[in-house]
Amino acid sequence: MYQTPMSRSILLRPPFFSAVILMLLLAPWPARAEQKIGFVNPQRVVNETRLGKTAKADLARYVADKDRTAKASAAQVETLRKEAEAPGLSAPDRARREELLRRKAAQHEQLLSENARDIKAEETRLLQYVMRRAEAVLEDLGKKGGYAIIFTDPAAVGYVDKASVDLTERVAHELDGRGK
Amino acid sequence: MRSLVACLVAALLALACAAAGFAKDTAKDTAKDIAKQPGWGQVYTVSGKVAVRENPALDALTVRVLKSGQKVRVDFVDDGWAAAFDPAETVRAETRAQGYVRLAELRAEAIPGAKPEALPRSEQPAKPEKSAKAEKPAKPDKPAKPDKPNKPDKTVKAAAPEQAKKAASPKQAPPQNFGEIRVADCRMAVRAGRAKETEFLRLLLPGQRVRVDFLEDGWFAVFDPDEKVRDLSRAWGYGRDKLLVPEKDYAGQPLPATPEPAGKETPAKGSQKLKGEDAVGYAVLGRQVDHLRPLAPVVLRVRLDMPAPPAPEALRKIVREIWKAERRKNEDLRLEVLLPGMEKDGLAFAVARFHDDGRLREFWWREVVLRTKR
Repeated sequence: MYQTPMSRSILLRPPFFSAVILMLLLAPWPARAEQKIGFVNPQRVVNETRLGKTAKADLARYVADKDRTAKASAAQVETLRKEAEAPGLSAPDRARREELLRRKAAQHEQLLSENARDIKAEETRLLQYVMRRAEAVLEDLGKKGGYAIIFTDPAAVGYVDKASVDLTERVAHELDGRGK
Repeated sequence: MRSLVACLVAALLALACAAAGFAKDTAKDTAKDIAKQPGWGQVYTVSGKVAVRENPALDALTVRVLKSGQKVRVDFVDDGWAAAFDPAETVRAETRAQGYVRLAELRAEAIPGAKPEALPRSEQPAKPEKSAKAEKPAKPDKPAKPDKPNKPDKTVKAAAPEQAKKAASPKQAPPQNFGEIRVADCRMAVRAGRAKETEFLRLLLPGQRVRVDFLEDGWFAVFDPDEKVRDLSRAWGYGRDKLLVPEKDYAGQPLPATPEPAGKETPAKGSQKLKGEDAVGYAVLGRQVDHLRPLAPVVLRVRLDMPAPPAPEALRKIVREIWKAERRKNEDLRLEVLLPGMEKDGLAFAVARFHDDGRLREFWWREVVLRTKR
């Protein structure tokens, strides 16, 4: 009646297996947490946070100012056009006015393209400013919530379960909380 | 015959002497005239309030308001408007104007019989500057005559002598150890060296008393008014001599004894006014020149020394003042303004660009940067 090491190990198996099963039962939560995936819609962050709304108001003010300069320039072009088309002008005078009009129209076109470029650049700067703050919130949220990946590109996501995966509102809320 | 020749010679000699004497007198008179020449434009002493606008138009932005007792030099009269300058301004250039005033308004508010006044020490015709060659030639303007009899504002009139007294009588007797006590005639920079390009160290407010000494190349070493030791290492820095006038010549507003902190300002209008009058310190964070694109503007980043962000109108004035102080030659300057606590390389609070004559070409501000905890 002796027991070989092997048989002893067999006898020990039931408690060992139960321990492993118990561990597996207890383990899934952290294991699953490492695989959590989240999604944040940046456009909604901009639209729904105070920071984003302020940035949009800043941009609107900037665009309005650019529009004002463009309108003033357009009015000048229109005045020159009327002057150039006025009846009873001598040929050299008409040629001179047309030349003025041509130059002013070219300047106006340049102003419009510069305005469009400036507005785009300012929009990018403001959006980057907001998203940089949102990213800091995302990072904290990801670490604390145990998210492995948080998507921010709506085009890269086919389906989002808003209840469990969409973190946009939480990010927006946190971002507003961090603002003044 | 001999006597006739002698008579003729004597007469000729007498004529020559008389001519020489006359020439001497004329030369004297001319010299006197030059010495008395009041420079250019006309200096008015304002008795009421006169708005200085950014452009010669009624709907243009008011960049400052001249108050009772303040002096202003005007020139470049056109269509009822004139360019307004610091009374100490020596260069007759429209680009150096603070803005534009309506002549009718100025004459109505100026002291009756206002006429070109004798220049203070710093205004006396100085050596002609090289840059002045490019400016418009001085054209004589009609002497100022009030369009209508003045109706002096009682409160303003009563206040003016009081302010003058305040300005003239300093609270404490000036120590007479070295140099002399002078007063900043306008908002001016104290710099690290005797050149405009040197580092900005501090701002002097109009009416602020300082002790000056070591005058060299038009720059004074500037000390604390109570400084006793004549040692350059104890100086605050250097300031332009023409902007530091003797106390008796200072005609501007006296410096408020203790500027109220922003938080204590109760009436909204009053606080706005105070902010406008208070000087604002700033530090230059960097000047970025794009050597690859010569036409690109030079980006100057400054940080304002203000506890709270200024209102847009006040900010416009501030950026104009900074532009005047920091612009080098004819550079196209893009001014980026940051507030305390903001990242040095981060998004600026306000951005301004200017026309060559100092008018704002572009100006915008970002409230979004105020929403983040600094």
